[in-house]
Amino acid sequence: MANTILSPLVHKGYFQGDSSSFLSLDHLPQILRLPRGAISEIVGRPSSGRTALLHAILAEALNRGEICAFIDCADSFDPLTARNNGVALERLLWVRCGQKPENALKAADWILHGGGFGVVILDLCDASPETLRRIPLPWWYRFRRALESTTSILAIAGSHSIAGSCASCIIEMERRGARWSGSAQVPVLDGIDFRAASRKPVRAAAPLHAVLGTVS
Amino acid sequence: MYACVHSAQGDLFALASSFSPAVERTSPGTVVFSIAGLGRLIGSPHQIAAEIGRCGAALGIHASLAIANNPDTAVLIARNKSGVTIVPPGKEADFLGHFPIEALCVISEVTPQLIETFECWGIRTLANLAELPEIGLAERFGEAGVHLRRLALGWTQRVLHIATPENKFEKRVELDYPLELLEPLLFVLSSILNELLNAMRRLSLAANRIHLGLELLGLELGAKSRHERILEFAAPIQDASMLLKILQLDLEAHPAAAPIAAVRIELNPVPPQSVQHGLFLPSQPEPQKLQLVLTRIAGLVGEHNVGSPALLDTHRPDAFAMLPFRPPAPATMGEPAARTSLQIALRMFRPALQANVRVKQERPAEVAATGVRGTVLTASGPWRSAGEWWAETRWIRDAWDIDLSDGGVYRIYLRLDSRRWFVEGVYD
Repeated sequence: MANTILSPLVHKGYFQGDSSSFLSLDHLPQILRLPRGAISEIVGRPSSGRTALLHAILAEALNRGEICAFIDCADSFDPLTARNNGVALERLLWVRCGQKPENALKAADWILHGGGFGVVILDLCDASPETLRRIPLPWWYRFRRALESTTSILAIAGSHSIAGSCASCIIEMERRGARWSGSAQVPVLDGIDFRAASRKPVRAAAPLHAVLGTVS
Repeated sequence: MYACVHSAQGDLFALASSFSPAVERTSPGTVVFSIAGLGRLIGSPHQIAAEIGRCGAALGIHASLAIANNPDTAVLIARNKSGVTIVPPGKEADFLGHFPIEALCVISEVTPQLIETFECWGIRTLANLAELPEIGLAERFGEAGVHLRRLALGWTQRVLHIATPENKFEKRVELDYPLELLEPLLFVLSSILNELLNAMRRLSLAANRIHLGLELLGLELGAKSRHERILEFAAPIQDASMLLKILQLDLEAHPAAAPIAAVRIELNPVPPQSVQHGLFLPSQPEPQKLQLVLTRIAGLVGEHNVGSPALLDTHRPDAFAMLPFRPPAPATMGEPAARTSLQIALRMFRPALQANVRVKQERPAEVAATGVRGTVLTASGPWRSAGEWWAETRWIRDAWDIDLSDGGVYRIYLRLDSRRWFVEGVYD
């Protein structure tokens, strides 16, 4: 029951809250759980597993009957791998912003203030660090304020942390290497080893070492 | 008493409605209505028939008219006899008797098989049918046989299936002077929307589609063009201010090309949406707010860049369509599937990055593209795919999964028709 009922009450002390205050990915370590009513950031370089984690978050929320939004700054979302990763596409609002971060921020603002979305993903992975640094800080305060009294999650994916103190949770993804099977002449990509660590809050738990699944 | 008007042309419903609120559309070209109570207003049935004929002539309707004590008799006579017929009460059988048995086909419950059976028995007219014993008909045809005999005798009685007038919610306003700015136009739109939506609310209806037609003043004197916008909503809307805001956002994104001389708005009426939210269901976006958000975003990024992705039934790479966002009604979902590891995902480059690839021993050795550059550490491939050779969208290519020295794992491909390399995406 605790997995299906979302608590209408979101405590300020997210990390002392009960299990309903988080979106937990079943059978995955607790390090990958995101606080509701708050901003989370998923940061890392390309091929570090950021998008795989975003898909897992979406699949989890959509399978619980929530409506989610994916704000795609660089038009990089792949519906095929998302569907293969369990994302229910008919319940997903996809906004393609055509390489314009300002449009992505406005769309995120309207969606968060419209309310009712379980998870809102703001994908800024392909924006350059200079572009990300130029985003005014008040945007993040505005997002945090919009989320405060809701059970929604805003997950921002990027190459580095940009929301500063407004983010309640930062998960850092790091690529450890690709995993290949088959012979040396005919290798087959099996997956990518990655390491996920919680940079905020700093948890006592050890960083997670895991491997991404097989390419399908 | 009932009157039946039968004609192939003209607005019979309007004619009937001017005499009675109880009007039945029996079939295309036939209406029946009650004339009970008109005796005090107009007079005898003959005077009523004359008045109906006069109104019909004014509307340009040339019809056959029958007045009888029950609707079915009136329909049978009007459909099978031209001119005006007034049947005194109790004389129905005399008027119906000479009609052929096929005349009963105009009554919806009568099947052709039944008529065929009567013809086999030598029953040619309704008078023949009326002479048959009721018990015998009941034994052979059941209730339907008895009903047919009563029709032939003019003894049936039933209530009319009252037709409701077709609700049209549209209004056209010709402006005193052409409008160029959006703000004054919104005042006009606001008053029209308020009027139409008030009428809808009175009938417990809501709008799920709006058709806005702006008549524009052409550059040449007297020339006119039109600016049409049709907006469909995820959920029916009853709120005029919400609809006005949606129109404003849409007109900001798609402004008219010339000053506006006239405005026409048509709303499509549907029953308002009523959703019973469950206590244990996750919260959902409020439909009207969601529509406003979608319109805002569509104005910002374009209509084709917002919606739900849908995969197309093809093996062509990156084949998808954007559908309007219509999330299904909230429902209790099953428990999420157990997830023990993350599944790898692909981030697409749209359009694919053109790349310079150095090939060594038939395998990519170095890749250089915008933002992607390095030596290939491991390469898996080639994975050939081809299809849709019959269409413009045909493709044939060799794909490779490569681990590059810049730290990324990419999917690149060689288009075999043009022999050019592209970077399709990065595994992430």
